[in-house]
Amino acid sequence: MSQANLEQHIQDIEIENSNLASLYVALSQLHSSLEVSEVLGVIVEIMLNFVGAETFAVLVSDEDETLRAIAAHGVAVGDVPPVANEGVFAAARVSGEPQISALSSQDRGRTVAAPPVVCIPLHAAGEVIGALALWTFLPQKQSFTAIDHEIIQLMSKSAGTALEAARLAMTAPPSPGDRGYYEAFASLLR
Amino acid sequence: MPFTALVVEDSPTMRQLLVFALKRIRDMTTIEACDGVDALKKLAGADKPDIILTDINMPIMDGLKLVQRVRADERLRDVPIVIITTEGGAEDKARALALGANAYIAKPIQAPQVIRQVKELLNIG
Repeated sequence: MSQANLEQHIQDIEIENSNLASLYVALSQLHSSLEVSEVLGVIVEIMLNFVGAETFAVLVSDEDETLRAIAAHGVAVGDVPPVANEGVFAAARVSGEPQISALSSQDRGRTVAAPPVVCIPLHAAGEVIGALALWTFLPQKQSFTAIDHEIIQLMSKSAGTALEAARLAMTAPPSPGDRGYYEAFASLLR
Repeated sequence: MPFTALVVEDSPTMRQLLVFALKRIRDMTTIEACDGVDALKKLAGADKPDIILTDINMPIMDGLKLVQRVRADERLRDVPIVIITTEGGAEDKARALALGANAYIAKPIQAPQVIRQVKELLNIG
């Protein structure tokens, strides 16, 4: 292997290490809390700091499959309109796969009334429970990289589970240390 | 030769990622702070770090104020400071550098970029 090839190989390994570290940190932080507000905070941090999203919202499905925002960045939660299960949202829900458009400089002016640039279905227990919609990105963000796609896939597979686990934990006693905590587990395994 | 980096960042997720990156530098240890005031407390109670990495937008005391405070402190004024922020505009960068920051990295970051910048400021290969 030539010196140039070796240096390139080392650079590639460094980038791969960096990407794996990003995925590890994102995943470990997602599952570091059973408080819904804290999990939402982690989702916001990951999308802002790791992907460079600027205007985005976490939406969950209502009984009529309307998506309603429970957290947002760059816009007030109350200003994110409810979204019918159609267009890019329906495509994400039906396919179960993130819907990603190419980034364009015109996206800077995109509002939350427009279709998002990225729509990530949030999975939990085999169902799509909501979506992560990204409308605008930091000005310095020119395009999506390989690690962006990896983070988006990770969020699709894990953010919904983390949210659902937190919701259940906050509504279902007992907690660790409480009387009956072991029995609660044991009874579920019988 | 051992090095110490002070990482100032209000996002625990981002802080963990920066610590991960810095630990890839041989003999590097890290101190963490969640805002400018916390950073000043850590700086007062510890040996002088070899480098400071700080976010700008933080509650209580932001990163630019921290840069000013560090540069005004005789004991700390020569410590290199790297700004890591979502504010990617040229004016933001110019302002931070004018206040005394040594380098400016816009998020989202790539760890190798941070490592390269830190090594350059610490003059290590």
